[in-house]
Amino acid sequence: MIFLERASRWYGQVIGLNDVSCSFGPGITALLGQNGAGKSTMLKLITGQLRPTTGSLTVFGDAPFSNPNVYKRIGYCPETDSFYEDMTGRQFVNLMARMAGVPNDAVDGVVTRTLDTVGMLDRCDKKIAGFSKGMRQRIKFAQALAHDPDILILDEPLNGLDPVGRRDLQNLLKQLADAGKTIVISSHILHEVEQMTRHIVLLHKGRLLALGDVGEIRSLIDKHPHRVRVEMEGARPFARKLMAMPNVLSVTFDRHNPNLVEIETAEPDVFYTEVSDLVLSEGIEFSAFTSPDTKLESVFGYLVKGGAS
Amino acid sequence: MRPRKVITMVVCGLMGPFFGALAKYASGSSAAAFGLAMPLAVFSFTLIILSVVFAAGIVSSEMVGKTISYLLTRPIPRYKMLLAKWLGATLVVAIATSLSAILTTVAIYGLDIGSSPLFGVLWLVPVGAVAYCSLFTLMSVLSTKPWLFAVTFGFLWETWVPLLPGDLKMLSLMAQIRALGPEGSFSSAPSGLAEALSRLNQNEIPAATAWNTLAIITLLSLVISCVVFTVGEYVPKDEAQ
Repeated sequence: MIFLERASRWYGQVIGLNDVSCSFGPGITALLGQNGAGKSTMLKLITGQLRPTTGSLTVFGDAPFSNPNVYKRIGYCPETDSFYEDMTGRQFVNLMARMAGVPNDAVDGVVTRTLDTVGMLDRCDKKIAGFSKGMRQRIKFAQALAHDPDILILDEPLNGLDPVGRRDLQNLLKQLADAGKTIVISSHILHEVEQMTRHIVLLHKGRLLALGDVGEIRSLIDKHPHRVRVEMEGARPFARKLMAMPNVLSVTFDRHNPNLVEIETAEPDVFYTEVSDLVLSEGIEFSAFTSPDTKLESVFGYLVKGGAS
Repeated sequence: MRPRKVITMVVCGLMGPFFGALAKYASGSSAAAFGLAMPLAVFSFTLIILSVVFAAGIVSSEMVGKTISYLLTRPIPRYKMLLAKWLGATLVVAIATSLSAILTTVAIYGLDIGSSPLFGVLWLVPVGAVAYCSLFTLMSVLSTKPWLFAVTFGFLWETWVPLLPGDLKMLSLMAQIRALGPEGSFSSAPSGLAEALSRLNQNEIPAATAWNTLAIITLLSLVISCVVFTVGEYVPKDEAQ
């Protein structure tokens, strides 16, 4: 549906996106990266606001720049918090829906349904200037959704939403993805998207760092040290046994909790097998056994910085 | 329309009547007051300032307000979007300036506007609105600070270039517009430096030349605007990083 082939985008001497090849299909894909990673540049390229300096980018087989045929099938929710402030929420969504090609005789019903979907129906007749950040986000999302596009491009849509709003939007996006929509959502807050999708694209300084399933990306970092936290009574003797294992790099005791120990291993798969054997043979009981490195944030940290955050 | 623009429109529109009443009071002659107020207050001020406010911001105000991304991701050809905005701006400018011209005449002649030269010059308002709005639309498409260029053009260039010797006045839109008006009913008496310059500048622009020039400037401005807006990238500066 969306294909980037060695796409680069320069802003004068500054590179926004550097030789990126990837594709986006139905379902939710999270575009992750820190500020300045090139997420917004990529979304602006996909939505045809910018042209790639080199390489190519197609949406439904066409170059999207200044292409109404592509825009018919795209809903775009920009990151910037900008509106025609003197309009009411309903007027704004109505205007955007009309401009997106919703027929005049259907537009009122479509707008009402969309505002209801994003939870703004009871508040949409007030001026946008008086809206809270969360309400503005919902209206922005509504204008992207109103014409029922095949592709939704959402630039940091969860910013400013309260927890309930986030959950509602996440659920809605999952429903839309289940219905076959292609959804590209950018974020720099990893746990936000972690709850929606396992399919991610990681950008760093304009370059494509990794893409695919979180699990696949996780395998890329197996060469990096992997941390495991164990909480148990008598952690010290257990730690001594762990230190004897060749794949264990270090064992660190928590300063405040002597029962908590953090183990760093170079080979997580081997480590987990050996620990299982040890637990079974020695009859050891753990209070807690967790790995901070199973979180997406750590995956990102490893790939970007060469170490978990 | 945004309230700030409405207030600007009302204030600018009332400058003509105010200036006209003042001129009538000072001169005591309706014809002299009309000859002063109409070109100076209505055409050289209200028409130009409203064209700046409504046309020069067609693209750049969307850039400044960062609402341009909503527009550029709609399935409407960009040239159509631009022409629709240009048409809207031109209509607003033409209607508001025409009302200002009528009120100025009422301020000078009272309700007996039939005896005034108003209808000889009123039709020039839409002509001027079309020409100025086209030119300022082009500035809006080409520059991130079109107001600067539009104000400089409207109030500096258009004030002094018509007074330059020889055919240099041809470079002024206002001189072309005035050339279309009936002789004598649409002129102000210059004074000081302007008077001295006007003595060097006795050449009149033929009406046919004025029509052609205005048509060419309008068409060229619109065509270039449409092409540039269609192929150009419009992303607010702080988002393009």
